[in-house]
Amino acid sequence: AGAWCTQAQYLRQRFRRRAVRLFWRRRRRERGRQPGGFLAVAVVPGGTMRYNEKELQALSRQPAELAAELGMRSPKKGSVVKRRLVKLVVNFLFYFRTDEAEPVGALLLEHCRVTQEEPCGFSISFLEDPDRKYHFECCNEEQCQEWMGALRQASYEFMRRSLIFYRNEIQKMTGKVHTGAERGWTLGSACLGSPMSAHTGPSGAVRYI
Amino acid sequence: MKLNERSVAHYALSGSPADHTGFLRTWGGPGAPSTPSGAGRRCWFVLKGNLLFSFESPEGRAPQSLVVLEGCTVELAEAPVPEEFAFAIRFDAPGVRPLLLAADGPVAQEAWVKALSRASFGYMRLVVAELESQLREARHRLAWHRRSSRKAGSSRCRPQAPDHWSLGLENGHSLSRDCSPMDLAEEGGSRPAGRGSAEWELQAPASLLLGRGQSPVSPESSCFSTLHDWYGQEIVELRRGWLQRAQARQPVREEQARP
Repeated sequence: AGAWCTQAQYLRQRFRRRAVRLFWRRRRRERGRQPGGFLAVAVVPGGTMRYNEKELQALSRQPAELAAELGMRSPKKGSVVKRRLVKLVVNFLFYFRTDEAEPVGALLLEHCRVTQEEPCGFSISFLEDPDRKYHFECCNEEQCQEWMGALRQASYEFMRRSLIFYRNEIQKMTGKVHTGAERGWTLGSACLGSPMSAHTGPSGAVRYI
Repeated sequence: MKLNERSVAHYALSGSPADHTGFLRTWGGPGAPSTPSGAGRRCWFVLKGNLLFSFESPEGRAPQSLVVLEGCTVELAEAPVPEEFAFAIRFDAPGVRPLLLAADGPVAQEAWVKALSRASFGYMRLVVAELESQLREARHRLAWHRRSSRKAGSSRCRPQAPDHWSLGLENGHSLSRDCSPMDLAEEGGSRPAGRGSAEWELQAPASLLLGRGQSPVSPESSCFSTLHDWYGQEIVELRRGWLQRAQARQPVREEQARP
């Protein structure tokens, strides 16, 4: 409120922002009608990453492991708690405005850490920036625990570890190495934990669950 | 729609194991015409779980693109330029064009098609569930054997271990401590199939798992000292059994009929 000297300036600012918002909304609608779908461009360290939003939108409509209306606060400083419909689908967490069909946003849950914040709240943070937390508020402790448990298991990395764990246990018990080849499927040797990535990038020294 | 793209990019670049990597020619991408033509662009593709990333090169500092592979189908396709080993990823989502890709050779093409068709979360869940049920089965069988040999009057202080070793000796089967799991399986297979062979495949340490209830070792346990103690128990028991057998083997050796 300190940025505007007069009410006129304040109103002009609001009008400008509204115009910008409407401009982008119309752009999105037009682009969405193209046969290719809506290609989003995200700025990441080192370049830009393109992805098709429609793929994520379609995923957000799939049956969810968990869905509930929760209070959500973004990591931005000074953000307020907003009511969002939060939906967990495979390793993505989608959040919707309570009356909208398309999600406001999505969080990929790989390399994330889920921590209890209050008796009825938890936060999600990511490996590359552990202080940047997405906060969620639940109705009661039970719901909080339910969500925390589900989110911790909602990553591909977790599944991979479970797989290795079960395979080892079975091998110890029966002396047989079950690779799953009996059923006609095999998993890449990379699944056994040897890093196959050829990238020079930050090597995660701290493994988040 | 917002996305935690920095975390996504970090995950793509991180040291976590990729399910498949390799060079592929692609016709999709920014500004690409709706009908693919020409030879396509050669990019480095990385498959991690249900996410397919592409980079300009294996040393790329940031992913160029991301494709979410949940609920899509992969099939062989015709490339605009003949003699390309092409395949296409078709998406469930309405209004999303199939992604056309081509590998360098038939082996690579087959490997990619296989890897991509198994890239969904649902598939991984099936695999894990399958192994989980197999483990449960193995544990049930072990419990059954434990119960039946208990009735036969085994010692109380060390469940299973003495029975396994002593009965093993009667059958002329020497179980050494250094015996690898694969050897055990082979020796088990040479005996008549059915319950009998399953019995000898089971090692004493397995009984520890049941004797002490569910294993505390799970994907969630991260305390090294717990894991160390847990596996340490196994080693201690194995060693005790081995020493016992070594003592018992001396007088019995002459009577053994080695296969």
